[in-house]
Amino acid sequence: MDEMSVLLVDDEREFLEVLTKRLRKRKVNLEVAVSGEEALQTLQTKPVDIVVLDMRMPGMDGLQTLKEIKRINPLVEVIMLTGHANVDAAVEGMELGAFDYLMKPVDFDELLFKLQDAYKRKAMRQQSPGNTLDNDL
Amino acid sequence: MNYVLVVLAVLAVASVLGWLLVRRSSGGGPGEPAKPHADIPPAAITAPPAGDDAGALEDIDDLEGPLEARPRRGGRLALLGDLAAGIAHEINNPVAIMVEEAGWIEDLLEEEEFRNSPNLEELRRALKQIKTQGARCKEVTQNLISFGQKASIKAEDVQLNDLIQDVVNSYDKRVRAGNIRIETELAALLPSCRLSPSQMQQVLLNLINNAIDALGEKGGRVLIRTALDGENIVIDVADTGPGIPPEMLDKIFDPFFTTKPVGRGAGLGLSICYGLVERMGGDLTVESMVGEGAVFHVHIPIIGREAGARKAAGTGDGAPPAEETAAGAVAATPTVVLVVDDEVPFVEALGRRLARRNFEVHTAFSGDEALQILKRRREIDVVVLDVKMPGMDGIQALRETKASRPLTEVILLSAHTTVESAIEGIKLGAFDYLLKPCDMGQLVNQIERARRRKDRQEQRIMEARIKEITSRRI
Repeated sequence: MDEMSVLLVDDEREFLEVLTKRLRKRKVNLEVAVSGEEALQTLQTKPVDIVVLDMRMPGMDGLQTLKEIKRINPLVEVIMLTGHANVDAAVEGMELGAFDYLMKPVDFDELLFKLQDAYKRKAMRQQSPGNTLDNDL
Repeated sequence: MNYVLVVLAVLAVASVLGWLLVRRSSGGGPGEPAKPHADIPPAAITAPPAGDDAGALEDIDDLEGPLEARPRRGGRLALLGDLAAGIAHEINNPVAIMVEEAGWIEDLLEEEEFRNSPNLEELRRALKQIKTQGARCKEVTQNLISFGQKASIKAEDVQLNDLIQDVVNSYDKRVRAGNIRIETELAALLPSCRLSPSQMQQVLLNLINNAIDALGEKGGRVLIRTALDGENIVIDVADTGPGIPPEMLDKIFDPFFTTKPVGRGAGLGLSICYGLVERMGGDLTVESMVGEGAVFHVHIPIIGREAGARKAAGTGDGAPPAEETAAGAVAATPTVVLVVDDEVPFVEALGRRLARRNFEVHTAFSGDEALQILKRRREIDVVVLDVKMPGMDGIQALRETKASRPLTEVILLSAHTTVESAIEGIKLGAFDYLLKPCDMGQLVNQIERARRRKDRQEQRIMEARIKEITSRRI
């Protein structure tokens, strides 16, 4: 997992702290941001493979942030975290190009699996930029 | 037990809320009409919460004959739903942090310094317990969040007479024991309407359970009637119990209002029913005369009349078997299929053909891979599984799938030489088996039938859960 670079975006600092420790222990290259705006700023200077994005934050909301991320770099994969069992927002996010979503409280192992899957898809897309293959393989 | 704690917590918050809104409830023993309390003024004036929709109650004393009441619209129930969802979200965050910290401790325990610690096993066990309890919290909050959800649940074309007949049939044993008769008067050629069958089942179960409770020890009759009333279908649930006194009529749809003694029902049933009926675009009202029982009226608009008329013409007032009705239903979400076979070209070809028929397809080339995917993707409805594969064979994969996901259906694909394994598979819970090369139409048919069976099982489980919450029997 040490090639993977991830940006974690969540306004809950304690959650961010413990998740950071656990991911860094597994050699994931990690950046963090506590808001949509901060996430976008970070992405300008530090490109990442995957963004894990809490959908329910004050300030710039999840879907807005997602749109912006995809505009800046469409190849970045986004995994949504919904504390909101708001399936509509999650589905809309998928339509905007998010990779998938997970419900909070998030199962750490599930998050790891999703990160691996998202990384695989990003790698595939980067190899063949014209390929719009969306199937999971 | 967990449900009790959560309901008590919501009860506590809601009673504070209720106090703020100047609410009072009357109580009485089961089966007894409530005696008006001396301290409740005859026409209690309550201030509706800000933003309450129009829905002032007519002055009951002015009406004659059976008294009909409408619950106040929108306002309070929506408030409760938002409250429940809000609490759930607030709880989710601290629980998430707790569970992650427990996981972090687990990570640290793998360090060298702890290797020979005498308490290592116990520490691990305790941490696992924290995670388990955290998962339970998550389940409970999900239930609360669903209660507050405005999103609609899968709507289908439903023949209400069939649904009602199914529900009534499930009462047989309980009813015979307690000298209660459940009767039906179902209108012939009732058009179909478009709603979520599981939600309607919840409503019916609640109303019928209340009717049975009202009859109490003395027993009596419960009558369920369907009729067409202009643009609506009307379902009546009537009982010959003691009836509902006028001062209670405008309160019975309020959340946490109950005449049952503490511990025997939280009083959520009718408010949930009201919310569900409202979500279906309908209306729930009650009529009652003390000494003569009560009737609950469920009005449901008929949407999609063309489809309804077509079905009504062919149906008549009998009860076609549930499977046939489901065959006419339009599933709102595509079926998710996992295709598993070590022959890569076969899997890819099958996957493409299924995708063209609007299935959502995932693929795996081995039993191990299939199990991994099933672990990550909870939404898989049906697995199409080759019996003979190197490594983990189909039967083993079937066993493990059924062990972790009993509701997921499995269809086995077998060559002529492996038919015996396929039959063994049926005994282990596979839905069916098909011989390769299999006819595409047959396979699609079986996948759809398997999906319907899964949906029915899930509905039954959901009903049981709702019954548990709303009609508490300790």
